[in-house]
Amino acid sequence: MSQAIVNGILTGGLYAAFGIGLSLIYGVTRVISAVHGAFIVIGAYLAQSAWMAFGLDPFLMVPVLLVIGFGLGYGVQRLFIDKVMRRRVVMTITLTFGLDLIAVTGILLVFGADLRTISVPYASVGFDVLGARIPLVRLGIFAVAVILALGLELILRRTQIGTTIRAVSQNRTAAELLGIDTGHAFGMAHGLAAAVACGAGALLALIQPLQPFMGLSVLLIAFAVVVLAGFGSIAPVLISGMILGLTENLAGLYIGTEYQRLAIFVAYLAVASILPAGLFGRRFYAH
Amino acid sequence: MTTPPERSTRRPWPVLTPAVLIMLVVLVVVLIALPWVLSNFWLRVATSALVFAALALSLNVIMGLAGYPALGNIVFFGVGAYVSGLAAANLGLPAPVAILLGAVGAAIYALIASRAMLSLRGSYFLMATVALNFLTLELIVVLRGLTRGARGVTIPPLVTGDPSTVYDTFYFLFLGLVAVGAVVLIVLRRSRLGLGLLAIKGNEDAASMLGVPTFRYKAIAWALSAGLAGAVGATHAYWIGFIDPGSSFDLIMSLEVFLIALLGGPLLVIGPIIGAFTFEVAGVIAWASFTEAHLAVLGVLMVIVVTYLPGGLPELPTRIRGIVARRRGTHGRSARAA
Repeated sequence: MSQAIVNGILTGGLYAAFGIGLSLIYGVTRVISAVHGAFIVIGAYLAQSAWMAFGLDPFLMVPVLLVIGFGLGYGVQRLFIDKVMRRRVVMTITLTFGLDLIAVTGILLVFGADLRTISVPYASVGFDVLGARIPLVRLGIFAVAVILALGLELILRRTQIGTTIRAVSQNRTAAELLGIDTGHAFGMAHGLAAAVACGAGALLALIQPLQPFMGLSVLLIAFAVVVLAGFGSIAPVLISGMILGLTENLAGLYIGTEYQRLAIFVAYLAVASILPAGLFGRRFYAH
Repeated sequence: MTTPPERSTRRPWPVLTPAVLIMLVVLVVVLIALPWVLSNFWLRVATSALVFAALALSLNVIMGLAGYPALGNIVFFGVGAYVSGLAAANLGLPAPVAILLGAVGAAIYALIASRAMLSLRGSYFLMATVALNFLTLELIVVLRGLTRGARGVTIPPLVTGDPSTVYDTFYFLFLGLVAVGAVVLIVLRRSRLGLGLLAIKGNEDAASMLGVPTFRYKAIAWALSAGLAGAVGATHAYWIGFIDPGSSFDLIMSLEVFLIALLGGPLLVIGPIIGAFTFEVAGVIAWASFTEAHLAVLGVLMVIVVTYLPGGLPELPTRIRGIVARRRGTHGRSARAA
């Protein structure tokens, strides 16, 4: 029981890192980016490759992935999403799913369809707290994920570019009139979101075997986090991630491990339909 | 002289103009004649196109009329396949009964889900339908005592006999389902329900204030959409002879249906039929040379359609004229209109 709770909270930090980028993109551009899952998976595969080729620790790979992810996100926004951003959701989701399929094929062709895993030398290191074992890797993943999410929040709140992004998301026309390059601002927002996603991918690679098609289930988890959190700041996203992590792990403990994914979907649909504004009362959908 | 009231009765989309009528008649004649003309290989391609056309028509009931982007609607295809497949394999029910059960089962499933999901809009509804699809997939896997889980179910044959009889039977079965979908859409859009759905698509809050029972209308539309998708799934299960969770609740297939509905553009009935055949034939030609990159071809198509052809295939002539005009350096009206 306490083990399941510990696992749930630690995984939840990672889920929050998945969700926070999607929340930022939606908040700023009103686009549900289906390619977000692919960014995470690309990060995971790159981390795994670096580990396999050079023995590079995935944690050390995170800064590199932040840069790569930023480039990918900025490029996708400026090249593709910019043109269709103001269209109906049917259009933007089709576009981003199209990009996702292209990315999945790319991953498949480059890395192959075999399962890939990372086993770091300190995988079995851990310590015991209140009868639950806390593996060092999972604690590290949790810490890095939370740092990534906090870093994103800091950039948005405390820097010039963060202010610009918030201005554009509040009123695009007014921002344009003030001379803000909105296209660049949207690109920066998507770039930051994708950077966090890509970095979080390295963390995912540490705990799950990788396969090219895992992007969709990762995307659904990220979206579930957004639905639970509503639109807002970092705290709801972190708490939502942990709620999902706990749901998953407690369902695994009490019902059976094959019910874990089912539990996440049930929790997601239940919250979406009973509390459409999210758990924290911030209404964020229905545009 | 046009007075405002007359303006307001203007139909919201192209209805039976002579051009559309001629297209419809030609289409029907061609579709009925195809089995006598095509080789078995191309008949299979055409049958597959009909499957997608029927699914896109069913999607149009909820997306085209009510404006609800049910991306995960393939869930009802899967439910239909499983209800009828299990009814046939476990209970030994005859095929027509099993297929009917599949359709009814899918419609009931939609009604159950509608309570929770039809209050969501836009992206939220869209992602919720995707979640519903995977929730159902997981349920099928977990309830293996009833559903045989991930191992799948073998379906008894619908017809026996020489291959060409079997091919023809399924071609006409799916053609029948396409016809049902077309009739449902045509009847709906002339009915009070259909007009209510269009009002919901236009502005749901305004429609609700004007007295349209929005929830009931949406639920009925979704159930109809699901019933048709369920019937297609059930028939498809007999066609393939085997179902499993992965292929019955396949989001890629749902994306293909979505793309075909987009290709149809504002032509809700003829559009998906032409879109499905274009898609299938193009697919056979393109995927034969890019088997490895099958998904990327689909992805590129999706990106191109959204970016350059958001109005679907009906927009293609104007687009081409625009490009030709620009090539000639005449930046005239047609270029700008495109």
